Amino acid sequence: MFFKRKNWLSGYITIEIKGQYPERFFDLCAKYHIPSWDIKKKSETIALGKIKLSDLPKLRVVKRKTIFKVYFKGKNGLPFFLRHLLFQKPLLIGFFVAMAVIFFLSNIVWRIDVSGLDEEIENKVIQQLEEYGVEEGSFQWNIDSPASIQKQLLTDVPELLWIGVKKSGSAFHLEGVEKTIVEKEEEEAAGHLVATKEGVIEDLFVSRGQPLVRTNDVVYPGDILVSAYLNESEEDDEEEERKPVAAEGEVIAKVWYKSEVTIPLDNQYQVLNGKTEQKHYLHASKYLIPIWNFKNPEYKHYQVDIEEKNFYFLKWKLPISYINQTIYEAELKEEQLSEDKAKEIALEQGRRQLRREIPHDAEITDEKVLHESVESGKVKLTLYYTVLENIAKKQPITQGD
Amino acid sequence: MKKIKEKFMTAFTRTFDLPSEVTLELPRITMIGSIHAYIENHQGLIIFSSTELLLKVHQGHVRIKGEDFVLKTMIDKDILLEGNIKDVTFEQS
Repeated sequence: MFFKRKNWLSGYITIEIKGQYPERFFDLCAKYHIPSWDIKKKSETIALGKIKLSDLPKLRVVKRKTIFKVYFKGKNGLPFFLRHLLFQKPLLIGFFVAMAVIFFLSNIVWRIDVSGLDEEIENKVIQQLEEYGVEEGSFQWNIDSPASIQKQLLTDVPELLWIGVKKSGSAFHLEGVEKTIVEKEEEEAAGHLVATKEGVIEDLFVSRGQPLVRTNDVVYPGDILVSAYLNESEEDDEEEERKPVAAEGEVIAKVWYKSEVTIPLDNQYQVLNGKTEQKHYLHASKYLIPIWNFKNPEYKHYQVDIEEKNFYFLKWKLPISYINQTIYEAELKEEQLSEDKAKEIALEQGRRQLRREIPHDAEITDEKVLHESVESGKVKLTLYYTVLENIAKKQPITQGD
Repeated sequence: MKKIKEKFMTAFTRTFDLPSEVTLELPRITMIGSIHAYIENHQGLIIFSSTELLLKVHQGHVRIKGEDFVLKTMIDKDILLEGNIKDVTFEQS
């Protein structure tokens, strides 16, 4: 039985031998190490038998030495079966259609989960996602990468403190944290207001708590500005234990910042002039196969932006991806700055740097140039700023103090 | 000369109790009831039809008669015969 099954896998042929004493042909085959089986004699001059497909070349050698006529009657086994399948057009077409359908369906977004958010914000997030084209039923190759969706969502939905976008196969999982929830929790904790920076108090707006400083006091980082314990000085120790409150308020102080800015006088920078060229590629392992726009733009200086889209089959990422390359033409510009102009730019840059460090509602009241020098083609400025800003920070009181 | 060698081989086989089909080049015929016959160590097929099988063996022929004969396998020196076996005869020559 095993002998037969093995032959089925490698394929076998039924041959018909015509001639006088046809059985002698099989005897000859046996002598030439061609195993045969199921030999039957149909009549005096005709015999049927089976041999392996791989023995066919040897059979030809044997045939040439005899006067028998050999006819091939039947072909059985896997190789013939496979070849037969190839000629079954409907089956083949059906197979490829099925593959194509699975491929298409694998590249569709099937589910979007949003968790950790209120219904209102969740709807907002979903609406935003729809605007980006992320919807149930949309194609994945029109969608940006999860990281860029995450970034976009954070800027477009201001209520979000953080959102994680995870893509697993054909589903998007979003996990969000709201800003408001965090703030509520903070408000409830009892605590002092402490200084975050060194400065001179300009103004105090205390809505709850016991202020410990006055205007024109100099404070250092960590100093308690507004205490959580009311009536600190009095002798009500005998009364019931005083409960700390959550101190609240704003403490506006004058804070000084010092910064150094250097601006080179010779400037060389690239400017994109708006001319672009789009190229499309298929990316398979190491190879880039261009599929559209074959010519290389003759840009002297350029910047290249690459966008890659992956294809999926069921949950597997295919090794093929689509790449959209955008080439921007750049122009090299050189600029020789005068000292005055450089100084102006330095001042502006310093201000911009400062703005990034201080809170939004802070106010720059004074700006001084402490030191100015020109050294090896660079203008160096030491700047001094006076800023009015809220330096109060909540510091919760740990239990058991 | 040939006869002497043969006699010597027979004696050799008997003394050392060796399997005779190996040393004497004799055929070994295994039968399962009357439906299978397994013939090893034959020297060639002479006639095969659905009622008869004639094989050349050492020092003669083996003739098997019956009905519905099919050669199930045929490898070099072995033959597996399937069918309704009625008669096995040795013909010395």
